[in-house]
Amino acid sequence: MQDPLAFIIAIAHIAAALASLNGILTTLGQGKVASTAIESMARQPEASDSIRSAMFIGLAMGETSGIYGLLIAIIMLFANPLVSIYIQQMAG
Amino acid sequence: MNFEIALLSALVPEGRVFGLDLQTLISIGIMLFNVLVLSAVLGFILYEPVKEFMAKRSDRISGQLDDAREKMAEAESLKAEYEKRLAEIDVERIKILESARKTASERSRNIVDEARHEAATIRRHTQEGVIAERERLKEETRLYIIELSSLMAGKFVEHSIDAETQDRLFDETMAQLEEARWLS
Amino acid sequence: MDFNIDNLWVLEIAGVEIWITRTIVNTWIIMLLLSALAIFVRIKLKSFKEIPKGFQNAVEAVVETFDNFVKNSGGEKLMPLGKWFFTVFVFIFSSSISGVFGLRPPTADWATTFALAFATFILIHSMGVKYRKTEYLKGFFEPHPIFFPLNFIGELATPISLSFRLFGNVLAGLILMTLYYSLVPLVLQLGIPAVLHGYFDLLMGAIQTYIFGVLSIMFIRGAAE
Repeated sequence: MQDPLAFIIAIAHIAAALASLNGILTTLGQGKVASTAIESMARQPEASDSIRSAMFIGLAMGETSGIYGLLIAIIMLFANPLVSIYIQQMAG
Repeated sequence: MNFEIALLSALVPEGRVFGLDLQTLISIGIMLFNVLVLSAVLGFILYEPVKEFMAKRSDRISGQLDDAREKMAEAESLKAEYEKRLAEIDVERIKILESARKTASERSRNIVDEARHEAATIRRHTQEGVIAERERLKEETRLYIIELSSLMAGKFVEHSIDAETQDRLFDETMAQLEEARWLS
Repeated sequence: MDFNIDNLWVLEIAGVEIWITRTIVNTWIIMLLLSALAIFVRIKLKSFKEIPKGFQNAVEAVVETFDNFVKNSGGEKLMPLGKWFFTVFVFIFSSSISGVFGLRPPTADWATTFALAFATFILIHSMGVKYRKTEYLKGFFEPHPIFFPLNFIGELATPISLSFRLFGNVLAGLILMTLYYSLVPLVLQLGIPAVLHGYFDLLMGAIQTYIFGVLSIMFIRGAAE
């Protein structure tokens, strides 16, 4: 462990990658929402308008967790508090 | 990036993607203000006047529709009235015809009656005239007969009989004439 | 490869530094263009005819569609807020479009999206208090007063998830576009990015605009009714 800063940055990138992994489950969930919506649309084509808007809202809700993962990844990459703490400690 | 900004770039802090500090809060405030200003501009210059314009137009069109509907109803009622009046006229026509027929028939009957009456009168008059004529003729005939018989009797008396017989014969004849006159 | 929010200016007012960021400047540009469009429409409105045609038709179609949309998904109570929702829609969508023209979309900055979501947050609670009064405030203490912190955090989560949804989507598109531009050779930077811009800026922008608007309207309606 020659360079602690490099270690912190590497760990932060790994954390970002892990946080992005929740996109898998989010996508699965969204796929389920979309497939169910399409099934209902096929069963009741006359209600497709309301089903479509409900589907969009459901997709948006399901996307929330994926967005949180993305947020964590972004914080890890661009606003990592650990890096600034380390730099402060080095300076101090 | 223009010259001015390039000059300042030494002074300004480096950019970032995401951060949670006072500057973000200030940015949020500025953006909120921007969006509110934009909302006022778009809302009062674009959205409301167009909406108002459309509302006015739809009001006008619905007003025109109402007008048309009103006129339609008016026309409908007028039509009904005329139809009713037409039906009334039909009835009236029938009534008038009926009354005319009645009057005509009455009149004709009157005329016929009158004619018949007149005919009867004429006939009666004629009959009366005929009777009177007959009476007159009878009277004349009687007078003539009297004259003739008295003439004949005179001649006969001159030739054959005396005064006594003459008187008796005269009486007899007179009595016979009297009788005949009564009988006729 | 640069998708940072650059600071273009630093003002100092009463000892507090204020960074004028790329986001703010781009917002001003978009505001100017939209205001010009609005004034153009306002001037054109005087010559609008009874029977719509061409440009007038487009403007009327947009306004009418939007009006019906607010009426259908928001109900009558939210009709006075139509101006605000209209602005939100137009602003988010035009900032997504601005990515096509090389501007950094203002919505790829959390400050912008949180400003919008914060306005929604204020509207949710003010409409709730306005239309349901104490009944609405009582809702925070149900089913039991112990649940108050939970309800409170749940309410706070609404603007945060709203803002991060929009921010994350636009930023992801921006990052992918920047990566594409910086990684591929110059030959591939002709033509192909049009498709990517079409997807990330126009399609995703439209969907995210719709979702942000619909969720805002639904939250506010949920509080008001």
